[in-house]
Order: sequence, then C-alpha cells, then structure tokens
Amino acid sequence: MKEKLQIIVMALIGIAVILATIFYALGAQNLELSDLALIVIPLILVVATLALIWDKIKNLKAGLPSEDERAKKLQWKAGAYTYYSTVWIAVGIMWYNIFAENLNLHVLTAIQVIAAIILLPAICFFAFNFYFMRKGDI
Amino acid sequence: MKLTRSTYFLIIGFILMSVIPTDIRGFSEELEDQLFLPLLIFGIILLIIGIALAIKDKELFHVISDERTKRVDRSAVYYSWWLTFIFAYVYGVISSIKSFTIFQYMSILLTEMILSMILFHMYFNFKGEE
Repeated sequence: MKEKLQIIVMALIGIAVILATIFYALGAQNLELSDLALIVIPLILVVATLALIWDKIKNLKAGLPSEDERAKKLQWKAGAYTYYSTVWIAVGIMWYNIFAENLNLHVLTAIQVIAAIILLPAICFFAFNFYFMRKGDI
Repeated sequence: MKLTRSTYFLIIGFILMSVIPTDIRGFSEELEDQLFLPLLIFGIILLIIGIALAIKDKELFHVISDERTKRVDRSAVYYSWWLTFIFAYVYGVISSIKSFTIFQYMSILLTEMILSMILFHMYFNFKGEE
C-alpha cells in the first residue's frame, strides 16, 4: 500500500513539474538560451522519475520490496550530505556574485543562479549516492 | 544537529528575529518596518520559552545524542532536501516570471530550507517510532 502511494505521489510530482514547465514556456515572452535551462532541467528530472517509477512497478509486480534497509539508509545519508552541499552552493553563489561585481567578472543572472541551484545539488545527490553505494558499509 | 524540544523554540525564535525580517526587506522595506517589532517580541518570547525548557530538561550545555536522534536528524534533512529541490524549481519559475532579484530568490530559498528541516524534524521526533 505504501509503495503504491509512493508511485502515485511520484507520478503527481512529475505531472506538476510538466505543468509548471508548460506554464513557464507559455508565460515567457522571448525564450533565450539561458531560459531553456528551466525547460531542459525538469525534462531530465521527469525522465529520471519515470525510470524510478518503472523500476518500482516492476518490483511491485514481482512481489519484491522496492527498497531495502541499506538502500534507505544510503539515500538518507546522500540526501543529508546534499542538503549541506546545497546550503554551501547557495552561499558560494552569493559570494561569487559579490566578488564578481567588485572584480569586474561575469556576474551570474537570476536564471543562471536558479539553474545552478537546481542542477548542482542534483549532481551532488547522484554523486554521493554512487559513492556510498560503492563504499560498502555505511 | 541535536535538535530537541527546547532548541526548536530557540531556532524558530532566532529565525523570526533575524531571517524573516531580512526576507521581508528584500520585497518591501515599509512592510519590514511595520513587522519588525511584532516579530522581535514574538522571537524573544520563543527564546525565553526555549531557554526555560533547556534548563528544565537539563540540556542547556549538553544534549544527549542517541541512535534514534541520529536517524531522525538524517531523515528530516533528507525529506527537507527533496522539498527544497521541488521548491527551488517552482519558486525559480515564479521568480523568473516575476523578475525577482537573486537576493529575493536566495533569501526565501535558504529560509525554506531551515524551516522545512525543523518542521520535518519536529514531525519525526514527535511521531514516535522512526
């Protein structure tokens, strides 16, 4: 029952992200290259979510648990590390912009900051997940 | 993190006094001027309650950290990160449409991260078996 609920929630989030992307694409008057980041990123995320849903449905049909105790622990640890990374990424971006303004470097635009805040933690999560999975005992 | 019932009050009080006014200032300085005093008073009340609870629970200088606390910490942070991830995207779309500044985006995002983490922590802590 809990696993079915998880699949439904994931599907609902996927639909919400697609709808938000459509509204954004319709709302934006002139789409520039940097704006495309806000359309491509959610599409990548939705595809990744679809892969996860597919895997869960396959396990559910075979009567297997979708995740074991170790996988859960591993994800919690990766998520916790990613949370702290996100804080430092956000602070780092703000510092970079302050220095860039003073040193006449390229100042990040709002869209670039948003794309970085979404993409970098996602990469961190996959990297930490992969690292802890390979590490063995955690 | 070692969050307990006393530190919830202390952290929320601190957020009300320092973080929330900064967030509001990013959008409207007039509103911040109006809300500064009520937020400060409410924040001080929460700080006093937090310190009183810490003294009562004997946790003012030392907090016991067991296996369950660690699990609650980790799961709260994990779920908070997922919520932040969705929030960062949805709020990012809204900010790009409404042309918010980077400061407005970042301040609200960081506030959401701290608040969601505390709320998840409270939920898992009071839920019982975790």
